[in-house]
Amino acid sequence: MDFKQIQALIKLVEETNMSEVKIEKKDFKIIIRSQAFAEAKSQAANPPTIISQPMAPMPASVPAPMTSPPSPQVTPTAESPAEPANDDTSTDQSVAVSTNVVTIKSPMIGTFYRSSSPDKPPFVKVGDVIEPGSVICIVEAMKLFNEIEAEISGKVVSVLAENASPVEYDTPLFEIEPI
Amino acid sequence: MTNYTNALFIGKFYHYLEHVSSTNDYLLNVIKSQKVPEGTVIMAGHQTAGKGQRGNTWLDQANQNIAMSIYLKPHFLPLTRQFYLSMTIALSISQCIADLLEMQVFIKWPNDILVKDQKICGILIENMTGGKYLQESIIGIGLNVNQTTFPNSLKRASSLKLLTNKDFELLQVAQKLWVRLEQNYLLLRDGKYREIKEKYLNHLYLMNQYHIFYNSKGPLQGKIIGVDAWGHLVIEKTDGKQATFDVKEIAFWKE
Repeated sequence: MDFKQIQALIKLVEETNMSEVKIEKKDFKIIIRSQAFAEAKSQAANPPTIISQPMAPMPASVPAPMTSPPSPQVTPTAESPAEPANDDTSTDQSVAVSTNVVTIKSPMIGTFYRSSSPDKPPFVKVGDVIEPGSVICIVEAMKLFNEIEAEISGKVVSVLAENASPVEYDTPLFEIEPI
Repeated sequence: MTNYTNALFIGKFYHYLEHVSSTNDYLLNVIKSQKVPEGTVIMAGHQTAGKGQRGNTWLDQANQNIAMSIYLKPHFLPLTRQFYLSMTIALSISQCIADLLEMQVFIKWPNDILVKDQKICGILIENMTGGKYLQESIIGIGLNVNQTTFPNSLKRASSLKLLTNKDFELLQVAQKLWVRLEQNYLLLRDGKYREIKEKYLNHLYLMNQYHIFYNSKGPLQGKIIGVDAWGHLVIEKTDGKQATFDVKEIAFWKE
């Protein structure tokens, strides 16, 4: 399947209001999901997500996007399929919904920091109201310092990880009560 | 000196400051208050509170060294692959210094740059993330150029001048670095992960050589055989068993 065909598929999904299209061939699988699917799946409003996951080394015909394509995102996983693939089919930030509280989880292995430096106040504390784009913490991984932004709006109910402690992929960090 | 860079986008928008506390913090404030193009560079003659690894500060003498921050937008890079950004930067600096010195340059895992076993450059990367991807990055680079004396606390520090006895024009060195960085960044953007990792490992200090490392339990003999997907160091011990280490879990020398 080449890039043009994928584009045509995206268009088809958009125009027909289908929620999901799945195509599976011998060495290639592509799932295209629409906004409707994303909204049904998660409370957060997200752009349509397309996940194409090579089952064998990727055929060279699917180029990595040079720039962000408009709205629907094509995300081919290039090379090294043995490494952690970006195959999470949920749309974005790892959130788990339970009784009206959303848990924000760590998107990576690293060290969790609540402030930008040891002498600064924490980005958020219990009771604070956050909105999409608010910086909520830093996760340092191998000397890369990552500001993690909230993707939902809500009130911070609890901080689950301790400052300067190691976190794993998917370690719960915060509980948020959506507003 | 006018900025005539051969790079396509890195350094096209370039701002020089005499004094600043930290070029990373300065650039961070710039991008939070206005839209600036990818490849924007802030360079300073003197950094009064340059950032090293969290809490550490980087000491430099005025107008002797390169202290700069580069703005990139690697929104194509999943968080699970962010170490490739670190490898890309370290590789570019090594190549640039090797071009200038015609000496072997090594990357001490994860991203210090060494020549003749001495540190010549440090890197500090600050990312803004969105969902499962990086969005924006500030690449802080401190490269020792013409400084010839270092505090005693920096036992293993060196500079381009100490290694060659020559003075270097700071902006020219920076421009050469931008060109290298751009080449490798485009590889990263094209998803050439394997190629980047291979080149990084080719420059890796003590790769495949037996060495005595130090961890919390004491000395540990083994050889570096690579890095895992998250960037952890993979060491094969003398008994043939492999172990992986995070940055704070292993030292190359007894402190």
